[in-house]
Amino acid sequence: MKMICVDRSKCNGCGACQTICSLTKKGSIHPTESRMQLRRTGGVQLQYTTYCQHCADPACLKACLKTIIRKEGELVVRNFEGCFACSACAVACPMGAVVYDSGVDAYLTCDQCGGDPLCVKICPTGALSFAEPAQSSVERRSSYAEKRQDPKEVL
Amino acid sequence: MKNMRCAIIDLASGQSGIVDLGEWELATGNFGWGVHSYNEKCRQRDISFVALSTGILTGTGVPGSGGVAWCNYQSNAKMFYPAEGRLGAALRYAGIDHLAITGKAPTGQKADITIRDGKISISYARASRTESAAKAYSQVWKRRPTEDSVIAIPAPSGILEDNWFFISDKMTSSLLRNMGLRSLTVSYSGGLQIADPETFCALAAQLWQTRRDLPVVSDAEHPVRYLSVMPGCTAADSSAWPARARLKSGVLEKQMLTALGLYWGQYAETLGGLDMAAKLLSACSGDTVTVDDLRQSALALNRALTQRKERVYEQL
Repeated sequence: MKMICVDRSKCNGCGACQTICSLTKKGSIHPTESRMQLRRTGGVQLQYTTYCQHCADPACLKACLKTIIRKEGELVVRNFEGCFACSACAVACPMGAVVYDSGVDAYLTCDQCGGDPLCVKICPTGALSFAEPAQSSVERRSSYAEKRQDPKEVL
Repeated sequence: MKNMRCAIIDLASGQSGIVDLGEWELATGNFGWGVHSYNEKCRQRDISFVALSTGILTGTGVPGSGGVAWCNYQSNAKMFYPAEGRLGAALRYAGIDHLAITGKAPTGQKADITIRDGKISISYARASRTESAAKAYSQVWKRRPTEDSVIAIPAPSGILEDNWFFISDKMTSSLLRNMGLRSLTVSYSGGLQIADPETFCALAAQLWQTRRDLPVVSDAEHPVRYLSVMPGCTAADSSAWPARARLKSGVLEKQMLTALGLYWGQYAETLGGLDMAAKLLSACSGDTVTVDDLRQSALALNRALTQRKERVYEQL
């Protein structure tokens, strides 16, 4: 199954995915409530996006007090209408990918836009892709291996 | 969205306030440089101040929408410097469209301004002549309110955003340094409303796909810019007064775009220029805006700036 994948070496922290996500999902520009979150931890090389990884064994699912989070195939889905915004899932998520949406007063995650994510289409550096995770991983490993042959590239 | 809010900060007294500049109005050019009306009052009282002015499209998520204009006013001379970065967008998310800084910090002290969701706080620290911009940044960064905070430091070569790239010219930064400003930190949790999100989203997607064909800013060789289309742009790219020769080369249109909040620079035509700007404005504000409206407004803006410049020359 195809998923949103990110190549962090290409991400320049422009924030395009973050703004387009909030515009698509909320109808307004609201970066802090976007389901794609840009992490700025200092320095140019330390900027990257985080979003729901649809973990095989999701910590949010176990943490949810109202059991409204479930696995559907490979996707982690949630029924936000039952959410009472306790934030347990947000605390448990190792990716920091669970965001509070003030519009619906609930915690939400990336739902891959039904298989047609706009963030991937607009990513100006090609850091985001919608691909099979295994294939994406192979490509990134190959790319890194090629760069390793030229140490300047890696540095 | 249509009401412009201006934060006024007095470094001398440590006081600050937010005033409403009224509704966005295209016909009078009162959209990107709303601080002009405030400037007139300051001019009468012979007060120097530096203003950061955003446009209605600053921070709206399309390429180059970090557009801002720095206006510095000193001894009745006025200059402006179009730039982009995260600062303007962060200010708008924090509920402020214009920022005017006036006064001078008490002798021997430097001021740190923190803006968080429309709340302004000013703290003072002992001034150190040997403190570099990098050191000042590192100190402010440690106590930034949120991870997303934008930190701007007036450095000798220009205002340095996020310790990486310049968002102003040397003069503006120098004036702020002389006024005793050490740092400006903006953090936010808010956002911007869009009148027609569906159309705006389609336009944004179209623009980003066009942007993909433009040079990519993605590694340590090039500064990261917020929603940028300006690879490797430095402070040297500034355009100053709209001289007659520049008007013919399309600088007027670029100025107009910056006033709206779009810093498209040399890629303005590739990205659709005024036509695309008019569509974005219409979708964003809910009013119907045409290219002719923008041209008329650009001329009015240029007239106002030219008249002001002539007055300055007369006084000289």
